[in-house]
Amino acid sequence: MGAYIDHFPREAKLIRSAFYTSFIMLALGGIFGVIQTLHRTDVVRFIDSADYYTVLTAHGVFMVIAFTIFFLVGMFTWAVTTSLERPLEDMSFSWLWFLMMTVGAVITGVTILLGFVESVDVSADVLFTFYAPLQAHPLFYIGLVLFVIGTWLAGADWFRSWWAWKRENPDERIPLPTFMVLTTMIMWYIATLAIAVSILAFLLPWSLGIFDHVNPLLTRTLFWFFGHPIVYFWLMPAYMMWYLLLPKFAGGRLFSDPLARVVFILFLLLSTPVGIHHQYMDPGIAEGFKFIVMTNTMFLLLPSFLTAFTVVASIEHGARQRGGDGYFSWLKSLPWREPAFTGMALAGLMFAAGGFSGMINAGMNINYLVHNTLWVPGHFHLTVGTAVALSFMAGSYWLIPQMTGRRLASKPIALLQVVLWFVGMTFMANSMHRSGLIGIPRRTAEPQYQGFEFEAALGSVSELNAQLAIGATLLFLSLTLFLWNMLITAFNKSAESPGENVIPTPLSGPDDSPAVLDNMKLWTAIAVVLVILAYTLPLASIVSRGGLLGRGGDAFPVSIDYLALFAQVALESAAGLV
Amino acid sequence: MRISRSGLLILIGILIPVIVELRTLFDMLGIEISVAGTLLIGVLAIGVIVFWATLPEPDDSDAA
Ligand code: HEM
Ligand SMILES: [Cu+2]
Repeated sequence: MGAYIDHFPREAKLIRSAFYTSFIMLALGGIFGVIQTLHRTDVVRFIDSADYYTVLTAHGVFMVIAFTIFFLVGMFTWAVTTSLERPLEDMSFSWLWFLMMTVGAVITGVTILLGFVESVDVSADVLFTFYAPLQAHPLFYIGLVLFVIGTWLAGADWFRSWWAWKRENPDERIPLPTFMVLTTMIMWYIATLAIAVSILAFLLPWSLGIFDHVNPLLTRTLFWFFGHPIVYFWLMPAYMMWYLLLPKFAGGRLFSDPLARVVFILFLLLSTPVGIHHQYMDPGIAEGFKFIVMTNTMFLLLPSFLTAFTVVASIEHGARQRGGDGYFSWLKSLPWREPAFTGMALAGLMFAAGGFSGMINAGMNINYLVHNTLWVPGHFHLTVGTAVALSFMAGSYWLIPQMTGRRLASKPIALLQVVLWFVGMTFMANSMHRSGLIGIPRRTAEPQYQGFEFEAALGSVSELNAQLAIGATLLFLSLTLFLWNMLITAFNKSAESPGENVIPTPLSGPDDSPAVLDNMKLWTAIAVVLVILAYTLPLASIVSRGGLLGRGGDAFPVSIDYLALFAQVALESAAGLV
Repeated sequence: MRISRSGLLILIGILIPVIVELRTLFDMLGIEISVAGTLLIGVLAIGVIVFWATLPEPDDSDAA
């Protein structure tokens, strides 16, 4: 045994490429993140407010579509090859999906960025949720389609590895890391079907001018059909790191393999039939469906609690293996010096906070209080913006040396980086949650209406803004340290053995769990049935009321209507004066 | 040093959210702490921790 690169040099190259691409996306997303924060808090303004949505779209898409997914395809490839102990079946196929994803991401990204270029009539200021009535240039959708098909092929690649392995090992249980990848991918296939329909059947033809209008509620619902499971698509690789790597770094072993399997199955089953919880405020969906969806959503807490229990138990086991004792003093025996460990542990801690604000979002009645306010970005910067992003960054401190055979440029800076992210996010998320509670809206360059003052419960609005801006600056600094460290590491001359690429066997192994857990066909079937139950009636009623292609009306930009209205009012009053 | 430098860094890192969130919590209980007050408490708390951390290790041989 040795480092990953010693075993799988060809795969290491692919994974490296995926990671580096994801870092580029992270850098772009971060730049736009800090620009928009400083703009909307009125601290530093150098963009035109009219360009805010171009910035915000770029931030959202580069962060949560490009950065996360490029990173996770690398992670999943690592997990499958390591745990099956076999190389990918056909490298040219693997490069094909990577290339497709890259071409797709570049097309979509460039289309968004062209929104800044006034001389070109191409833009895609549709935010990362891209449902109607916001309309993008067709290239935006075409890039997305290529990107998603790339991920489908990547999934096929991992399934192929598993099938090949199964033929040679017919009686063995699926190794846990591969199991995690497969269940996550099944969820992804189900989820992306809706977005494929939404883009190919409605949004793309509409943007090409084939249809005059579409049904906005239908495209919204199809988006959220996909939009909830995608959050688990981001989160599952972070969970994987917590299950597979954290116990290893802590010097122990995963507490329970069967529990981990149950968790991933629960996510597969429960993450799709809940998308309507993003639409509690949408008129046109009956309250009854929303109530059912709320109940399902609350069940999703279960696998997250199971994860918290298993992961903390594994870490404690590790600490006790290292000589820790007492009720709490074992915490001191953990390898806090290791940025990979500390980063993931802090990410997990912040995830707990994000989980609590998520419960508020999930409650149908209290959701009305926070919907579309800054509270919501506050919530998901704790989840995807920290639990996922910080785990990925922390994991990179271990994975990149594994993939390159080079020494991490600076461990102390890496440690400082993860702590800085944690602190920066504390400032930013705390401010966002509090701002949301007093009703400050999200997704706007100008949160302060004229002739109206938000009343801060504590301090003042300018204080909240200052806190937000400080948080964003710290985060940006942290991001810079991360990228710098990665850059130097990538070109580091000093090679050093990065340690063994082994995932320790769990304390309670797969044989302690019923074999039915590994029955992928069964779980897929149940997942599909649950989706059909959850969505048939709402979709049918949306289509029967609004029509497949909607009833028309005026598309974006709405401001043109207002201009016309203004002109009319002005004319009329002028006429009145005369 | 009572704890390692990385330990100290993390302790301070975790202390900051605790202070920020406690301020929010206290407000709900009707106790309002100003920004300057929070800063002061923060600096003091960190100062105390740094002071404690840099104290020389207790000498075990004395106890015997
Ligand atoms: C440099 C650190 C970051 C800063 C300063 C930052 C700042 C912000 C702010 C202020 C908003 C709200 C803007 C508004 O609604 O008007 C926002 C939205 C968002 N951020 Fe971040 N963020 C950062 C990192 C991240 C990360 C790491 C992720 C995910 C991996 C992320 C994902 C998102 C998403 C999905 C949105 C919503 C976009 C939308 O409403 O369409 N951000 N960010
Ligand atoms: Cu959701």
